[in-house]
Amino acid sequence: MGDYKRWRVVDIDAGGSVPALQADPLSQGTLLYVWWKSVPLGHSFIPAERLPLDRNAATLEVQKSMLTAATHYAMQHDGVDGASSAPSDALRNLATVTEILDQLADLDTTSARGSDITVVVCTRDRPEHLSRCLASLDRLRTSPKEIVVVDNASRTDDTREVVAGHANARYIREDRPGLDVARNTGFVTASSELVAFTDDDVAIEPTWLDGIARGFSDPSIDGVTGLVLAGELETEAQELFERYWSFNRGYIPVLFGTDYFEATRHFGTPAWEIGAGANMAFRRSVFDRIGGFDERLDVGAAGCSGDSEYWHRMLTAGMTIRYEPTAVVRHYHRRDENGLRKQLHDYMRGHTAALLVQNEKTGGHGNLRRLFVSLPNYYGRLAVKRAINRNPKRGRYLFDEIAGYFSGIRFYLNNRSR
Amino acid sequence: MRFQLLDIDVSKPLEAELDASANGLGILVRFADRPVDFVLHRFANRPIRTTNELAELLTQRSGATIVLAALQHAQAGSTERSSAPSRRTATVAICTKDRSSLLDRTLESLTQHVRVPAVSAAADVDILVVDNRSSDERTRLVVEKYPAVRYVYEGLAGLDFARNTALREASGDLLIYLDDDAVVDHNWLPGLLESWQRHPDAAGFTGQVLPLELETEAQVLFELNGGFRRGFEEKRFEPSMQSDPLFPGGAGVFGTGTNMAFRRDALMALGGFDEALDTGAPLPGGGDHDIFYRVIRSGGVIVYVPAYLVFHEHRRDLAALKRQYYSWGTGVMAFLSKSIETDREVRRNLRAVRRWWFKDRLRQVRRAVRNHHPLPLHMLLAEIRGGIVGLFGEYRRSRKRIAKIREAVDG
Repeated sequence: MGDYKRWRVVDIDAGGSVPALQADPLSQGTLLYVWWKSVPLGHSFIPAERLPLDRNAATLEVQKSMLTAATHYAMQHDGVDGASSAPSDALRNLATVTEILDQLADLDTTSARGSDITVVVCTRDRPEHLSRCLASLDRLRTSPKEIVVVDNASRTDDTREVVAGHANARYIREDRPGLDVARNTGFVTASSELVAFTDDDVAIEPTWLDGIARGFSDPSIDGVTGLVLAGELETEAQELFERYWSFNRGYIPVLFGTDYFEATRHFGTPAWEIGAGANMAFRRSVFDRIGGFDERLDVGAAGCSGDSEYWHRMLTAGMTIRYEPTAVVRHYHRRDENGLRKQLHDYMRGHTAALLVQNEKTGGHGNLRRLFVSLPNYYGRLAVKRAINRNPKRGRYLFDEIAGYFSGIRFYLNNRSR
Repeated sequence: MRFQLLDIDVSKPLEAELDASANGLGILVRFADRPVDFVLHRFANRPIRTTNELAELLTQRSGATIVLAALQHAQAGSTERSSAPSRRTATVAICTKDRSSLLDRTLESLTQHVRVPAVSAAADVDILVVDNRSSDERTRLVVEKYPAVRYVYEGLAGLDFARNTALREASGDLLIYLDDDAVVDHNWLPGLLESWQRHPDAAGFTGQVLPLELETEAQVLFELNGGFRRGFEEKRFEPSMQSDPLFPGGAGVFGTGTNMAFRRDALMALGGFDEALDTGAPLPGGGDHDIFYRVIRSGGVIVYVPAYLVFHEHRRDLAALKRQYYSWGTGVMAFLSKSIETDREVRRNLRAVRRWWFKDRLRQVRRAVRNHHPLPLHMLLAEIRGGIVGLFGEYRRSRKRIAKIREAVDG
């Protein structure tokens, strides 16, 4: 483990002039995030053997990684009056993709109505992370109405002190432990039309709220999720997490509504693919309609998945969530391997518990099918692969995951009466 | 059956006159004049009648490619231009036999595009026609129409004899071969010269070959089967690319003899072309595979350049196409057999290529039997027959033939 080499994380603006990519003996490669000004378009893991890349080669690499998202934005671009384009217009859009990307990046047309968003950050005993998160919130291009930090039963006063050092953040103490408890506390306290959640181990991009506002620009959208990039890849645990359990849902906007729900409920809607709790927002009215996060599904209590269960409930109620990749945050994964093991265990635990909760609330057999057929199948195959040593990295934490699976079922059965 | 050929620049407003009677389209897609894609589309149910339908086809088939081209075009504006090139010299050589009207067409397209500023700034270009024992005066008379073109007669019949004559007679640093049944694109020479500037160490260059017309069934089938197309990305083939099991024995991947260029010193160092290949009717093939192979084996680099583009008139009738497939079979096998004998070091690779070739053709036969192949079965069988004949000593027989040819001329 001591000889692990980091991945360098580099941002490149394809709309400007692309520099050469240097080789770096201290890293095993470069994780390149490709942007068009403030719009994220793709990424590429470039191993050290391929470096250095001169300007031409780097430019080609950048262009290829952004191609899918750029093509999507060009094809989706509407005519001036918003009507869907004739085919010859669509073709012209492809040819003028750079102009379309420039328009997309032009924030003055999609500025957040700043007074209408409350940002909620839930935290527990991670003052250094929180400090970095709040510093990044200071750099928001568009200010929210309010930033609320919910201190979820931290054992020391450090959290309170960190918040005190930020004039624009309000401190709330929630003594009952549990991430979903804390989220609900934040949700309830917000008085704005929109509520955006992020985690303390996150640094937000200055254009985050502009992206969130873009997501809500259609009034029929009830919730928005955003893009989560890797803040750093300094340790193997961080790299493995990013490779196999990444929060990154891609660079193309997606709508998750009734069509999606109908198409997937039969096998247990995979609501976790809608986004990540580190970057999500809702209309306050959603809380009024369907209540808050399910407090049974909590880190420390059951694991995570309070977020995916909530999206699942929204879908069941006929609501629509938009995945908006221009709302960007960077997440700092757990650095140490034990932290990662525990996290994966907790994820599985929360996941199976959530499937059971979803089944309880919405019926149908989809969730049970996923729990008792698809998941065992998946892990069975992984176990075989691990036994014959194919893809050893993915299989490393198999036992923790499987243990989490059973733990979640047990947890749900024990807490059903609540 | 015929397809209509279109040349469309998508960076400009779309306009095209669509031929209602065609069975399909072959569309050369350009962006700001640079060729970026070729879309071949057979009309299944409805023909394409309007520009909107054409736009839809292009968006579907070529969407991502067009976006990439747009991005590259935008970048090209901002990347630094390399310093002014030093003047070089090049000779264009056309080896021809008894195809005077085709030659006329080729020379016409060539002379139109060679004296333009883009080219003259970069290189001094002269044009040479090697008449490979044509049976009458017509070839010479055609060349006389073009005062800038030099005429040389080669009495030994065989394409590689002619190519070697061109090598001896040429004076340029770069020797550019062009077939007499091809017509050059207006950016043919600038595309090649520009790539030469970017790859000054390369020993050879191959270019893109697209169809000049798709007027007959034979032409359409050949193009549906891939034609001579090798894609629109510039590729650099280096000796170090040994990880590919078909490299470098599967020399067809480098390009085709219809459109190739070499540094003259590199060709001289290799001793020129192997005259036992490409000996006309008996063994009309393999010479290009062989020279590409030997360039790579001697440590040279070959660059495939899509902008270095010609339009080729494919064989018009099915019988001629079938003979062509047969001769490709013999040519490829003759080249491989010869190389296996002479190049011991990579013998295993070459044998593997040979096995792969037959296996691949058999796979294609299976598909043809189930009607999943553009070519009719008898044509694939002709190619395989050619391969078998080539396998069993065709190269040796050919060497005996050229010895006789030499005797006949010298004696």
